[in-house]
Amino acid sequence: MDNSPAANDDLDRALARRFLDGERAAGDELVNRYHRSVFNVALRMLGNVQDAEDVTQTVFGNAFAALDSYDPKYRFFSWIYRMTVNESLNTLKRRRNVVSLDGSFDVPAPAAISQGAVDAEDRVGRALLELKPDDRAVVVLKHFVSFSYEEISDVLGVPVKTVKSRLFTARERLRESLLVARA
Amino acid sequence: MNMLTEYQLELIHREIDGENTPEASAEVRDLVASQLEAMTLMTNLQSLDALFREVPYREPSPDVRDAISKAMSPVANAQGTTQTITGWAAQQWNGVSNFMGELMSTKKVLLGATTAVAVIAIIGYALVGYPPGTFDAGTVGGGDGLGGVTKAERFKGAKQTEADVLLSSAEVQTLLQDDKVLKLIRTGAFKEVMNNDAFHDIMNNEAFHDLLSNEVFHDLLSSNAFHDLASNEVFHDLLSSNAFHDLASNVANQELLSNEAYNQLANNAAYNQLANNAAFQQILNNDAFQQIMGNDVFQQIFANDMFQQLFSNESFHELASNEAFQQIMANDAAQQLFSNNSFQAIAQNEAASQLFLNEANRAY
Repeated sequence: MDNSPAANDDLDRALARRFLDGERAAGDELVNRYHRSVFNVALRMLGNVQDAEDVTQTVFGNAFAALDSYDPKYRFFSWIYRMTVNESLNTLKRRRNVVSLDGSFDVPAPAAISQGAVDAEDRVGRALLELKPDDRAVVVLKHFVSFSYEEISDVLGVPVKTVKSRLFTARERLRESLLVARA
Repeated sequence: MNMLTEYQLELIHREIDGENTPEASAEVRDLVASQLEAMTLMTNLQSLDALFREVPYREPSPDVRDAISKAMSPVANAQGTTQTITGWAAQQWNGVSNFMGELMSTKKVLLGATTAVAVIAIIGYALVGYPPGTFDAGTVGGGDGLGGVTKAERFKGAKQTEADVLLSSAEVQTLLQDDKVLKLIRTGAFKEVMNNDAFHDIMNNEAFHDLLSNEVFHDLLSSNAFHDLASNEVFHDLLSSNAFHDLASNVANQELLSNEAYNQLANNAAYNQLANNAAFQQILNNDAFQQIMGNDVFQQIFANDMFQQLFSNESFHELASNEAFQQIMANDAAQQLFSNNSFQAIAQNEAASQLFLNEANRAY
């Protein structure tokens, strides 16, 4: 998936500062750096393209509106992904009020994607939706953004120990649904 | 049945995640070579990892990028103007309105030192006891999904339900991601305010919302003189004095600064103490204060009925004297929170406020 942005955290801070100083191009650069990965995190959290796009827009809208409150001593990517996960969780909550999660996986495959990739996406997507949202968030950040335990801990605001516990529990369930049941 | 210890399980997961030291990786290799369960787990986790890697990276619709870009413009334009005045400082002037209006329109003869005492007392009253709102040129969240910065708008239409407020408010979630805000929300004082009937009443007050959308008021807030006075430390020291608090309470209990009320005020012990206060004397000589006193915009505001309505509101007085409210008003994070449209909507309703507190406690 996307390159982990952690290595360019200084750049993020500088871009945020420049945007606050009125340089619009710096804001564009921040969007370019993150909007795809934010969308993909939301997509894997929600299993729905439209919802993921809505979350992406909301996250950036909120991020820019609140950018002045961003504390540069923290990593920008932690901040933006935290908003992404939280907004995704909110969307899930709203969705629970109106529709069952069963069959809610809705990710149409573009023509350019191979059948193998389509199958993998479908299987993984459905299995992810069977996980508890908190566990799902850890799996998504680990496997789709390649974050370390510590980075996930930062993003979710939970101890590393909790990250590992959720991840290992989630993998047990995924093993059952994706490997054991299939065998 | 799993025969692996917790340590061994973690070791294998860490290996998959690339979190092991070279020594730990060697330990994993030995473990996998010697125990069937370890090998099975390792193989399964590798298969899972491989399956995840097969999932394609998706591109969002170009419309998403465009929408973000469009939403970004007003934010960029608003930067620098929204933050030049803290929400807190902005509110300080509200409570001054009624009494100052009366003074400026009918008692110009009193624009001497004695009047100035009353003016400062009233300003001070506003400082400690006025519910803040959306005075800034821009406010986080425009009410649409993008939450862009737009001008603060009046509350209109039907109240939201509790579920609507909490579940539709992306802004609220953004606020809850701010450590300072979370810390504030979890204080006893904040919870007390959120459960205060007077607070909910003032959040439902039409005059209050009229004030927030008053253009002239915004003009005043953007004046240099206002900035200077609001950021003056001596001014703040004066307002935090006991004498001031006593006097402010006295002033607050007057519906209008009639001749009789004014005389009572002039004979008030706290008033006299304040009049001899060195800080007060400094404020009287403060350029910014004098500019504001003679400012046309300032006088226009005071002539507005909404100020009188608001200042004569019982809930306003009750809230102003609430210690918990005064305590949280000293918190910067409170300004950010109170100037948020979604929060204001929540704050109109006691049950929604409680749900908001629950959400805050659940966050993180």
